[in-house]
Amino acid sequence: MDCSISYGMKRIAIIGVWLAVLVVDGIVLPALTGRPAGLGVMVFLAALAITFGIQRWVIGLGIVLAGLTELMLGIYFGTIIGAWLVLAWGWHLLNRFLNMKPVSENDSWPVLAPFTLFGLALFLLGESASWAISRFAYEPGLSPATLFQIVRSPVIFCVVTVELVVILFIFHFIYSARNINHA
Amino acid sequence: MRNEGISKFLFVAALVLAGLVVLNALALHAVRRQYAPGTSAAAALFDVAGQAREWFGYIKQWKDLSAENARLQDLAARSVSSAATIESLQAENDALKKTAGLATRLKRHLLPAGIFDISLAPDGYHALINKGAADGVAAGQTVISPAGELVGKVSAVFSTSAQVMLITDPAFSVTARVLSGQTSGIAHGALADGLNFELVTQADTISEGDTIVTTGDDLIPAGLVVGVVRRVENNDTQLFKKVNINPSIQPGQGPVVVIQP
Repeated sequence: MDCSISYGMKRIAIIGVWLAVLVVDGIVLPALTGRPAGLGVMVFLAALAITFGIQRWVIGLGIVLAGLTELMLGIYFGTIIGAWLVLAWGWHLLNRFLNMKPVSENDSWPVLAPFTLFGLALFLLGESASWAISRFAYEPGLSPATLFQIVRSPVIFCVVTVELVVILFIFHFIYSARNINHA
Repeated sequence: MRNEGISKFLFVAALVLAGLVVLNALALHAVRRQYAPGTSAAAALFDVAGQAREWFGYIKQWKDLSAENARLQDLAARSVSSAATIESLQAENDALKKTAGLATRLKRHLLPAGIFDISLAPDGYHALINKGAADGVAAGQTVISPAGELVGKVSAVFSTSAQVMLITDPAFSVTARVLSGQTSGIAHGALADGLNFELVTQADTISEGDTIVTTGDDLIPAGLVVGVVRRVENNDTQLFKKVNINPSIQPGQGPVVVIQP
């Protein structure tokens, strides 16, 4: 197999995509929807899980990046990390039942279409978990309307879909089966 | 096996996280830390972009202000020039209003002019006016103020200017009389002393404060104010009184009128 990308560069590229998502998430979503920054990182984590599957290094990297995001955005500790663990668990269970290969092990581009739908579902799962952690651990008065405003907003839905497709496209371009260096 | 390992890993991670969240929520009072500049990297980028845009805006504003400043300075200079022109026209208008009455009284053509130079040398008192041969000025013409006070007479003419011999020049003389009186004589220029009113006999009635006007017995029209008697010296041993006149108009730059035939 042609291994044109080294193992170390893979990790750096993921972190680079994460930083880019944070920057875009700070401009696009707040400007278009008026929502605070932070939704883009959930999209990134969903794309991370879909692209690489649930492996130890993926779980560990997701925890680190989620924790850094919480620090940078000033969010309650555990809301994004916990959402990532729930998201990872959900994708892990789905993979066990459907026996799917991760996107990184697929050469074909059309496979991104169904995975985008899975990604949206993971995003909703992650947002719900984040809301639940905030509600039960930190903000007892937090209303479900906060969550419904996100999941029912067509603007947020469109923006999240576009972000998800773009991130999956980038990941697939960099980490497709032709280029990946299996550890 | 691998799947069970993953599940166990996720379970342990979730337990650890739950413990940390409970610790944060209960013991640390839900502390939140933020270590990034601004609310997010993007917000910081926005901030810098906004500041850069503001900075370029200041430069553009400075350029616009500079151009407007130059324009306003030009406008101010034009306004000052216009104000000066208006003031000059107003002064000319006032002079013309005064001379309009004079022209009717004297039944002569009046030419407005202006004194632009005065010479008070020991050899004579002269002034230069800004009208000359081109305007019809001729030697010997009388020069008065717009109010009808005698200034002098034209002694030399040039193309666009003329020299006027002032009434205080020793070569100047005019037949004059006391206003509302019978006493008459000849007023001679006396340089810094004004004028001497000569040929006033000891019997003539004249006193300090009397107004002296021209009689019109010479080439100078009658009724022009010469001055006011400043001093009268009576001496019975002399035939004539020594009378000194303070001229009504002091030499200075300003509007004058030339009496033309």
